[in-house]
Order: sequence, then structure tokens, then C-alpha cells
Amino acid sequence: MALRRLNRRQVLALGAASLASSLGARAQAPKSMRIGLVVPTRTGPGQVVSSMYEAVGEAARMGAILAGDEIGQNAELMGRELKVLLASAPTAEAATRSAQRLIATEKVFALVGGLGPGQARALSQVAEQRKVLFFNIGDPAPALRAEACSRYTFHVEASAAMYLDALADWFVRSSFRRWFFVYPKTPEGQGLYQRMIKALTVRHWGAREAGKATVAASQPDYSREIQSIRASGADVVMLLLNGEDQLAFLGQYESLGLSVPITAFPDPITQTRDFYSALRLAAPKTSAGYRATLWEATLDAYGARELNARFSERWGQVMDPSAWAAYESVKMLFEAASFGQTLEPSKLVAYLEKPQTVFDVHKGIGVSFRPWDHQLRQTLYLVKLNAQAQASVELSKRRAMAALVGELPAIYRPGTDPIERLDQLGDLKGDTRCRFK
Amino acid sequence: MGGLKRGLILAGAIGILAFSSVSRVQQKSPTYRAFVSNEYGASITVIDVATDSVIGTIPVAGRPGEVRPRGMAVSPDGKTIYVAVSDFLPKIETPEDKIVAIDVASNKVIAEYRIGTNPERVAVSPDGSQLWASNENAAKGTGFDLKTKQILDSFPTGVEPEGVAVSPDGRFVYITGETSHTVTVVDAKGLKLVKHFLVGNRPRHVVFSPDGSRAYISAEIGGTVSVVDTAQHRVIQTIPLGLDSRIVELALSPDGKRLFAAGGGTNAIYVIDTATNKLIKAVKERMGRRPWGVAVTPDGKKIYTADGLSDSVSVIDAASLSVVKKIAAGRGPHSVVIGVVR
Repeated sequence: MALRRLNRRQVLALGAASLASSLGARAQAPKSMRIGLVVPTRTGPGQVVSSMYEAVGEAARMGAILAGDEIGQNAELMGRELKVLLASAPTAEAATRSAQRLIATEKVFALVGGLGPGQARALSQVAEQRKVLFFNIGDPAPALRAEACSRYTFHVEASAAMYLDALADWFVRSSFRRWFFVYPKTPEGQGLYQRMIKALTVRHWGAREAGKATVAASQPDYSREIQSIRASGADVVMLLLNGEDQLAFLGQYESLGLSVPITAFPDPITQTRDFYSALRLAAPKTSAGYRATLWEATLDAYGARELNARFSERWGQVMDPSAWAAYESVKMLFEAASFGQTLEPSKLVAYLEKPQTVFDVHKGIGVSFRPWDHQLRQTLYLVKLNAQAQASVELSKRRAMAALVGELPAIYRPGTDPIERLDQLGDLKGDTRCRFK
Repeated sequence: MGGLKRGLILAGAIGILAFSSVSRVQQKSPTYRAFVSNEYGASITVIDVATDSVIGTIPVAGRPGEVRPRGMAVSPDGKTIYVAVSDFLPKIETPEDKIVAIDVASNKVIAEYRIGTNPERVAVSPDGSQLWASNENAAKGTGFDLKTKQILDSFPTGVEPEGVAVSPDGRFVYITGETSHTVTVVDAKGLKLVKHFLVGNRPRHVVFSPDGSRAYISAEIGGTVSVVDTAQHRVIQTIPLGLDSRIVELALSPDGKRLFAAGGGTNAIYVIDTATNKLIKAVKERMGRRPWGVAVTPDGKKIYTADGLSDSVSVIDAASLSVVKKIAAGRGPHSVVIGVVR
């Protein structure tokens, strides 16, 4: 008998059905699940963080604790146990030590982290050596998804390519066609610039480069580059710089009186209300522009309102993206172990790689990991910083520092499946340089 | 047979026909009204099912955008509509967190009940004596006695409980947990927690078959309907509708033979044969945008949908399974139920 050929939608539907039916009376999910969070956090009795990375690490810690409470309570209802163990690691070396300890002594089956320089790569290497899962929540670097990719590492943080595609999409659709790029004189900076050019040339006909300038890390004076922008006739400026350099550049840009809109690469530390406050101080007018984010505290659809509210009630803070990423990582790991009915690393990897394995991460669409580089397909958000906002510790004022403008890509477009829709952002299979061992 | 005899028989038949038509007039056949909760308009749109025209709008509060009516239920006699109302501040219990009762005949609000914080959906027991609400941000399901006007008890559920239904024998309450993909089973008579079990990804709504042997649970992110054996509280089959379907509300035809699932992601109503659990048709042509709510008239002739993004109600003819009319509703229709005027 000839087999009937199934289309992609039917294959996915059958997969979802077999997944759901496996929840029935078959094998049992693990009784006890332990997950380790390794991030830089505040240490000692003080309330003040000593670096931007500690601030995002603190947010991640809060997100992981909330998930541990909520998902742990749910596990308890099902007769299971979920524990989230926390380790503070200010450096990549400390992250390696903490991860090794959590695996050896606490028997965690998965690590969550990757905030701070080198931490994601360090944790990815530990995960590869010790055969545990690692969910990267803070490093968008292309290399981690290419030559340094690992079978045991999955990326909840969006890739740089996804962020750049999202920004290109939004600005070009809004008639910003002539782009000026400012990027570091490093291989990483050059890589971001080239990927941005690809985003404009491959996907967006009509957009072009109006000019570019390379800068040194922590460069004290950007007046020459700013004059180049003035002379270029650009519609928009894209800063492919780190957070500190973005602040310095924007301060000087505003003082020289340019009005060409600026957007910037959304490194995790630049997606926080703390950073938005710093931007307001550095460049009160220029900072009130559009930025891309992984999560937004004012998102109020798809259960996001409720999640944001629970987080704010628990911590008195807005839910920054690293908090969301930590929360959803714990949730997805619990669900993978529960629905996959295993803690065995190779089986969990296989489960997570299946196209029919979808997760609900409060973004209104089923998300899944790309099997070729383990990047989570997901929507990103465009926010506009509020020109009238005041830097404040007050929750309502912190929330009001930015407002949601849109989601990228828009998910309410009937007729395409979620994978096709979400694969509008980032590198597809044909582009990947990842080769899992 | 002689002519006289034939004449008497004919006269008798006419007499019977005449009597029965008088009887129908005297008993007056029931009329149906569709009630649509407008989440962002803070109102309920009332539609006359016979003419498919809007005959009224009931304000739930004077503050659109601050107060949100969402899930609804109908009393067993069809005369009362219960609406779950809350505000947009899910973690703070306010006076707006309540169940509003509306008299179908007069379209008037006749009572308000407080059944815990942040109620998202509500269900009525088959004898009409109990209400059950899903308290979304408290992760609880709460029972309420309509005679004593007292809360019966609250039970822990999965995270973000939403769908709630009482079995036709009044014994069990099922409450879905959106974020935890669970269903919580409560013994409604003994007021005891029975169990929790896993279903599809992000379960939004639950309905029982008329004979109570099956429950159907929609999974929005999973794009599936879980078929549950209610004797064992166990998923026995999963009906795939596609990951893009993003189904929310479910409704059964009065005979239980057809299940209708509102596909918010595809602007479709999925029609399932419950004997085979196979898809019969996805009604898409002329549908409104993002249908979340769906209800069937008690005579089984029409299906109404609440279309959240087009601020409309689509009317589907059950025989042809085609959209026959679109009706303007308020802002952000969430759910729809059918009330009866007798």
C-alpha cells in the first residue's frame, strides 16, 4: 500500500497529538528535578549592585525563584518535586566552578545562566563535559550558535541575528531606508555589521548603507564619527556597541545637536529599566527612540499581564527580560522532563530538538528550538522609550519608562504555521555554521 | 369507507391540528438570546437569535478598559446568565472581581456575587445551586452556594486557572491550568480535591459531553483537544488541529455529536465528529477575526462565535456549516452563551 504523503502541517499536528497522548498512562515523569541557576548577583548585605551584569543577574535570580515557587507548586500537585538552586558567579571562572559544584553535589540535571562576559561559553563547556543541559539566557553572540555550538546548549536569549532582523524589519517598514552603522574594531563588531548588511540587503529591498564608522572600545571622543553621520544623509543610525559605549555615544550625539533617530543593538544589559534610566540621564531627547527587546513589562496579552503582575507583586520590580528568560527556562526544563518523561541528557536533547515540541512562554504562540543551532524561535518586541519618563525606584514610574509598540514578527496572521512565522527572524538552516559533535 | 366516515376522520385530523397549534401558541415556544461579553468594552451585547439583530447592550461597568467581563455561563433553565468580571490589575482583589447575574428576559443585572479574586471563567452546576469560578491569579478554583450566598470552598489548581465546567451529574468540577497544562478535578458534592492531571499545552476551556462520559479540553499552544474519560479522569485521545489553530472555547451540539472549537489563530471554527473524533470541517469563509468564544443554540440550529479582533459575532448555520451572518458587537468580544426566554 502506498503511503499517503503528509504535508508539514499534518506532520506537526500528528506530532502534537502523539506528544499529548503520551501524557496519558504511559511512563512516569521523574519524581525529583533539580535545576541550577548560575548568574552574577549581588553579594553581601548591601542593596546596591556593583555592575550592570549584577543587575541583570539579580533580575534573573528573581525570575528563577518565582518559577521555582510557581512551577514547584505545580510539580507538588502532580506528586513531584522541583528545586531551583542558585549560585552567584561574578566571572566566567566563578561560573565554571559553581556549575561544577551544582552538578557534583546537588545533582542538577540542567544549568541556566550566561549573563556576563564569557559566562555562557564557560557554562556551555561545562555542560558539554558533564553531559547536562545548559539554557543560555544572556548571550546573543553568533559564535555560541556557530563554531562554539554544543549539543547540550539551548539558547533562550535571542541570537544577534534575530535582533538585527527584527530591527531591520521594523525600521525599513517605517521608511527608514538609509542606514549609518557604528561598530567596534573587533571581529565581533565586524560580524554584527556584516549580519546587519545581510538583513538589509537580503530581506529588505530598497534599504542601503549611508555610511559606517568603526570605533575602539571605551573610546572617549566620538565627535569625528558624529560628523560623519551628519554628512551622510542617513535616516537612521544603528549603534552596534556595548551598553557602556552606547551611553557615552548617545550623550555626545545629543550634545552636538543631531536629530537623526538612533537605535542600538539590544545587548541584555541594555534592555533593563536601569539602563533606560541611565539613557534618560545621558541623552534625555535622543534616548526616547525605539529599541528591540526579548520581553517587555507592559506586554498585556497571552497571559503576559498576569505573569508581569505576579512578578511585580513578588519583587516590587518590573520583569526585565533576563527575569523572564530565567522564569521560562525553568518552566521549559520542567516541562521537558515531565512531558519527555526523562532526566537523561541525550533523551532530553532529542525531545527538545523535535519540531513538535512546543512551549508556551507567555508570548501567545508555541515556541520551539531550532534543531540546527538550538536557538529558541520566538517573537521579539519593539518598545519606545518615554521622553517624559523620570528615573525612579517607584514601580509605576519604572514601568512607564517604555511602552510596547509591536511584536516582531506579528503572530496574528492566519494561514502560516508558527515555525514558518517565527523563522522570519534569525539564521535559517542553510546559514548555520553549527556542527554538533 | 363511506363519505361521512371519511369526512369525520378529516374533521378529526383538522381538529387535532388546530388543537396542537393552539397548544403551541398557548405554550409559546422559547426564544433564544445570544449574550456576548466584550472584554475591552466592559459590556454585554445581546442578540436576538431569531433575527440575528442586536437588541441591547448591558454595561457591566462604566469604565471600559478598566473592567473586563470574560467567561460566561447559563443557568440550567436558560433564564440567567453569569458573567465573570474582573479588572486589569490581576494581583489586587478589588470590588470589580465578581460574578454578575443577568436576567435573560429583562436584560437586567439582578445580582452580583463575590467568588474570590480575579475570576476568569464561571460554571453553573446542573441543578443550578452552585457556581464555580476559576481565580486566575490566585491559582484556585472556588465554589459558591447560590442559596446561602456563601463560598463553599477553594481548591488549589495549576498556574493561571481558566476553563471550568461541572459534570452533568453535578459530581465533578474540572478546572484547567493554563501555564501548568493541568486539569484539576474537584468533587463538587464532597468538596474534596480528587486529582490533577496533565493535558495539552495551555489548556483554555473544558466542556462535558451530555452523558458525562467524556470531557473535551482545548489546548491553545498545543493546538489539540484532549478527550478525557471522566470515569478515570484520564486523557484517552488527543485530536490534533494544528499548532497554528490556537483554539480556545469549545461547545457541543445539544446531542453531543458535534464539537465546535474556536480557532483564534486561524480565524476558523473547527467542527469535530465526536463519534470518530475526526475533523469534519474548518469553517473559515467569512469568519470574523480571532474567534475565541463559541456557543450552540439549544435547538442545535445555529453556532455563534465571539470574534475578538473584529469586534463581531459570526453566525454559522449548523446544517450547512457556513457563516450566514456577521453582527457587530462591542470592543473585544471574549465569550458567547445562549440564554432562553420562555
